Amino acid sequence: MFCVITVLLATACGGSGGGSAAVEPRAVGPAKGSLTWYAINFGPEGFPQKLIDAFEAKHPGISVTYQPAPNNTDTMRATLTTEISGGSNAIDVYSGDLVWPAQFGDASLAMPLDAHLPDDFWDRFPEERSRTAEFDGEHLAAPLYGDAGFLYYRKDLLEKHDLPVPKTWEEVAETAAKLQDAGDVRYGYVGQWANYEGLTVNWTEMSAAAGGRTVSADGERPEIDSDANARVLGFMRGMIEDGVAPSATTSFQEPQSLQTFIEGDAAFHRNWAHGWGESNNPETSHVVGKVGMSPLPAFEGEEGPGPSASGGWNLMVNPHSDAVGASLAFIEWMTGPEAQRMLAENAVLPVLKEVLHDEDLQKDNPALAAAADVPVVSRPSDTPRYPQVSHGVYTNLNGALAGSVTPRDALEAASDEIRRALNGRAL
Amino acid sequence: MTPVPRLKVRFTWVHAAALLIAAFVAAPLYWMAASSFKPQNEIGANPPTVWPDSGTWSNYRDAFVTNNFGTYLLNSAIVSITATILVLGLSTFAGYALARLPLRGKAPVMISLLMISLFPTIALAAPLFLLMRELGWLNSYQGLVLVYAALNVPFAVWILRNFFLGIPKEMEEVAWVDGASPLRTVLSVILPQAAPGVFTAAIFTFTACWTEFLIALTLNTADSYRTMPVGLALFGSQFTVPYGTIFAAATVSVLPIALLVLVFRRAVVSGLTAGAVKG
Amino acid sequence: MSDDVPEGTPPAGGPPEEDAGSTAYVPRRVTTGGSTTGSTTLKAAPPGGQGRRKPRAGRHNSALERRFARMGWIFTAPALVVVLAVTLFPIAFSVAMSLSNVTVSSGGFQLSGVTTDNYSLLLGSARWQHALVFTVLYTVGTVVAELVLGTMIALVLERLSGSRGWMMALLLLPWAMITVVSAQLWAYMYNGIYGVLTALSNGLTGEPRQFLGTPGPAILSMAVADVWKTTPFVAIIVLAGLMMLPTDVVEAARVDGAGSWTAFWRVRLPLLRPALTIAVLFRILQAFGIFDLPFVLTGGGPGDATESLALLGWQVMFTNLDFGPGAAVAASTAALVLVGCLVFLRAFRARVGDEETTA
Repeated sequence: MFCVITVLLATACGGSGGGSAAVEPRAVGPAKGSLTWYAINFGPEGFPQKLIDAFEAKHPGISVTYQPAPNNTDTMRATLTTEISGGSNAIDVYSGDLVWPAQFGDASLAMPLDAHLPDDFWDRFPEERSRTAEFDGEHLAAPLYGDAGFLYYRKDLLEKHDLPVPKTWEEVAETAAKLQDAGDVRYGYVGQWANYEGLTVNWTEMSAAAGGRTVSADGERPEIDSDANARVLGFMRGMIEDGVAPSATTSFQEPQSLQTFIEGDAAFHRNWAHGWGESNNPETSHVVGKVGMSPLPAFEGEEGPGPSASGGWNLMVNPHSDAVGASLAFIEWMTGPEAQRMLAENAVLPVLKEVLHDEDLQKDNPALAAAADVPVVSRPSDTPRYPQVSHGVYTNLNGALAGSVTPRDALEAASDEIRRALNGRAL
Repeated sequence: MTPVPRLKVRFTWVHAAALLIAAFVAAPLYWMAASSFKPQNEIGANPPTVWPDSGTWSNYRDAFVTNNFGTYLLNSAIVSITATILVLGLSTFAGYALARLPLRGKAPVMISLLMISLFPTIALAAPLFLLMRELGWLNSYQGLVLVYAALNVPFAVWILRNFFLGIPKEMEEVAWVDGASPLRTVLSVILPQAAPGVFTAAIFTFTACWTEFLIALTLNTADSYRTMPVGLALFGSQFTVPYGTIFAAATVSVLPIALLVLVFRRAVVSGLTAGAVKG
Repeated sequence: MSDDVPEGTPPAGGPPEEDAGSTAYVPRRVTTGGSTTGSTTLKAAPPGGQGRRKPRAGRHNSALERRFARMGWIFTAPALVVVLAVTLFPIAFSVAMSLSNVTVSSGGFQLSGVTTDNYSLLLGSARWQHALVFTVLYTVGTVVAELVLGTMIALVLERLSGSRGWMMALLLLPWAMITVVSAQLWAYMYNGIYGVLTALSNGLTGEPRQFLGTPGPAILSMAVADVWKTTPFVAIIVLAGLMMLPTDVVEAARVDGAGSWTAFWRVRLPLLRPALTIAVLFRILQAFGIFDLPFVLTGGGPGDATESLALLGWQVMFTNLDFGPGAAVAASTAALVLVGCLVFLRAFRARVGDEETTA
C-alpha cells in the first residue's frame, strides 16, 4: 500500500513543466464491442434504455450499458471529473450539459470529435447549437437533445376575464395582478430565481428581452452593469415587492416552481419544454387542459418575442475510452433521424433540424412547434471560466431579489465578480 | 432511601419533557413517512394534507421495482456492517492501549487521529479514487470498507478510550495480578464493562457508513456496487424531485437503525445496570 | 458552559497517580483548575516522562513495564496502519495540490511548481472571507445549541427507565438519515408555497412565513434542521457518559444535602467533562464541514448568506474545476478546525495526553 502511495505521489508531482492540455486523437478501432453510456435520466421512465434497445437492434455488434448518473448536474460533473482525470476508461460516452464544452475542453475531459466525424456531420443541427459545442475551434460534443424556456399561462383564467396572452413582461405583471385581485389565483408569476444556475438562465432570457447582455460579445468584459439590466432586475424585484411573484421564488428551482403552477397556484410560469407535458399529466397536475404555452415576452419597447435560453444536453466521449469506434457509431445513431424521432415522440426536444421542423410531429406536440421557431439566446459559456461567471450572476442577483442589496449594487458586484472570473482571478 | 412520593413528582416532569422531545424529533419523521404514502398529485397540495387523502404504496413500488433500491440497500448493509466490525476490532484495542497501557506519545497519537478526521472529505475523494484505482479496488466492497474504517477509527478510538478511562481500575489490576495478559484483560474484563461505550461507538460508526455519500459516489460507480445514499441521488431526473419515492426509500432506510437499537439496547441496558452497581 | 469549573470540585475526578507529560513521580501540579497541566499535556510528552508502570502496587518491575508498552503498540498499530494507509496519500496529495499550479489534462492531475498563489487567492477573496465568517459563527451557534439541548435530553433520558430504549431508537432516526435526504425533507417542509411549516405559520400568524427566501430566516431554518439531526449525537454520547458516572459520588453529594440541581452543576457536570469534550470536539469537526444541508436546502443562498467553507470548496473544486484553489480551501479549513479544536481543548481544560479526568 505504501509503495502505491509513493508511486502515485511521484507520478502526480513528476509531471512538472505542465503538460499540454490537448487530447491526442485516439485510434478509432472497430465499431463493435461494448460501451458504457453515463447519463442523467431523461424523458419518460426507462427512456434511455429504450433508445439503447433500438440502437442495438440496428448495430448487433455493439452492446451498450446505460449507467444512470446522479440527477444533480453538479454532482454528475464531479463524478465525471474524478473518473476521467483519474484516467478511468469505465465510461465511454457521457451526456454533458450544453454549457460544459469549453470547460471540459480546457480540462481535457472530452475527446475532440472533428477528426473522427465527417465535416458535414454538424450541418444536421441548428447553427447556434452546433457552435456552442465548440471550444478552441474543435467540436467537443455532439448535441443530443435541446431545451428552451417558455411562458406557461392559465388559458382558462385569461379566457374568463377576456384577457389577451401577454406579449411583454410588463403585461405579464399587470395581467397577473388582475387575476390575483379577482381571487382566481394566489400568485401571479413563478420562475427559477434560486441561488443556482437556473437563475442565470432566467436572467439571460429576461436581460436579452430588454436588449441587455451579461458578457460582451467578444467574451472579454462584463456588460451586466447596464441601464437595460438595471431595468430588468428592478422589474424582477418589483414583482416580488408587489406580490406578483411569491417571495419564495428566490428559493425555487424547476421542481418547486412547476409544482406551484400545476397545483393551480400561479397564473404565469416560466419553465423548460417539459412543463407542457407535466402540466397536462392528470396524475400530477390540477390544471390539465387549462394551460397555454407561448414564447417568452419581451420588455416594452423591444421587439418580441423575447428569446429563450438554449438548454439541453450533448454527448461527449471520454478521452480514455477503449471503444471509440463503437462510441462514434452510437453518437452517429443518437443524433440521426430514428433516435431523434423517438425523442420527439417522447416529449424531448430533438436537435436534428429535419425532425425539429417536421410538421406531422409538430401537430401532436405544441412544445415542438413552439421550439422550432423560437428565438434563442445562449448563456456566455464560451469560456472555461463560465461556472465562475454564472456564479457571479446568480449569487448577486439572488441577493438583490431577496432584498439584501439594491439592484444597482448587485449588478455592480456581479460585474466585478465576472471581471475577476474572466481574468482567472475569481475563487 | 428516598421517599416514594418525591420520585413520583419527578417522574411526571421527566415524562412531560420526554414527550416534548419525542414530539420534536418525531414530527418531521412523521411528515416523511406520511408523505411517502401520498400519490404524486397530493405531494404538492396546498394546504398540505396531514394524513394522506388517498394513501398508496406506489412510491414504495417505484423505489424497489422501478429503481434498484433493494440492491443499494443490500450493498449498504454489507459495507456498513463489515466496516463497523472492523472499526470496533481496531479501536477497542487501540483505545484500551491509549487509555491504560504505558505508551510514549499518546497525545501526538490522539491529536493526529483528530487531525485526520478533520480533513474535509471533498478533498479526499479525488485522491482516494486514484489510490483505489491503483489497487484495483474501485467498484468493490473492500475498497469502501477500508476507507470507511479508516475514517471512523479516530472517533471510535476517542470515545472508547474515554469509556475505558471511566472503568474502575481495580478489576483490571486483579486480573493483572492474576497474571492475565492485556489481551485477556481487554476481552474478559474491560469489554463487558464498557458495553455502553462499545455500543455508542458501534452505532455511530454504522450510521456514518450507512449515510456516507461522496466517497461511495466516487469509488463505486457501477450500479451493482452502489450504496443506498448514492442510489437515492439517482431517483428522478434533472428537473424533477420525486419526493414521494425519495421519502419511501428513506423511510425504509431508517427502519433498520431503529430495529438495531431496539435489539441491542436490551443487552446494553442490562449490562449497564450490572456495571453501575459495581461502580 | 463549563468553562468555569467551580472551585472545590474534585480537581479532575480521576485518580491523580499517573500524571501526563510531567516527570514521573512529580506530584501533579494542581493550580487553577488544571489548565497548566492541560497545556503541557497537549504539547506531546517530553522524553523520559513516561516511565510509570501500570500496576501501582509498588512493585518495580520494568520488564513487565516494557512488555506492557510493547503490548500497547501492538494494540495501537493496526488501527494506526489502517488510518494512515488510507488517509496519508489523499491528505498529502491535497496539500501538494494546494501548494502547486494544478491543471487537469488527459494524463490526470498535473502539478507544476511550488506556489502560495492558491492561498493568496483565498485570502484576497471576499467570497472566502464571507464563507469563513459564516462557517465559524454557524458552528459556534449550532454546537452550543446542541450541547445545551443534548445534555438536557440526556438528563431526561437518564431518568426514564422503561421507555429509554424506545427513546434512544427514536432519537437515532434523524441521525441515521442520509443528510441529503433529511435536507430534502426540510426543504419540502420549508417550501414557501406547499411546505407544511409554511402552512403552519399561516395558521398561527395569519400570513405564510418565508423560511428560505431571505438571509436571516434562511440561516435560522438551516440551523433548526441541523439541530434536529445532530442533537441526538450529543445526547447519546452524554447519556453514555452519565451512565458511566460512579454512583457513589452523586450519592455522597446527595447525602451532603446538595439538591439535584447543585449536585448536577458541582459534581456531575465536571465529571461529565470528558464525554462532553468528545461530543463537542466531533460536532465542531462535523459542523465546520457542513456541506449537504446548504447544498440541498439553499444552494448557499439567498445570495451567499449560507455558503459554508465546505460548499465553497466543493464548488471551486468540482464546479469550477480549480483543483489548486479548491485544495487550498480544504487544507486551510482543516488547519482552522485544528486550531479551533486545540483552542477548545485548552479552554475546556480537557487533557488529551495520558491520564485524563475519568468519567
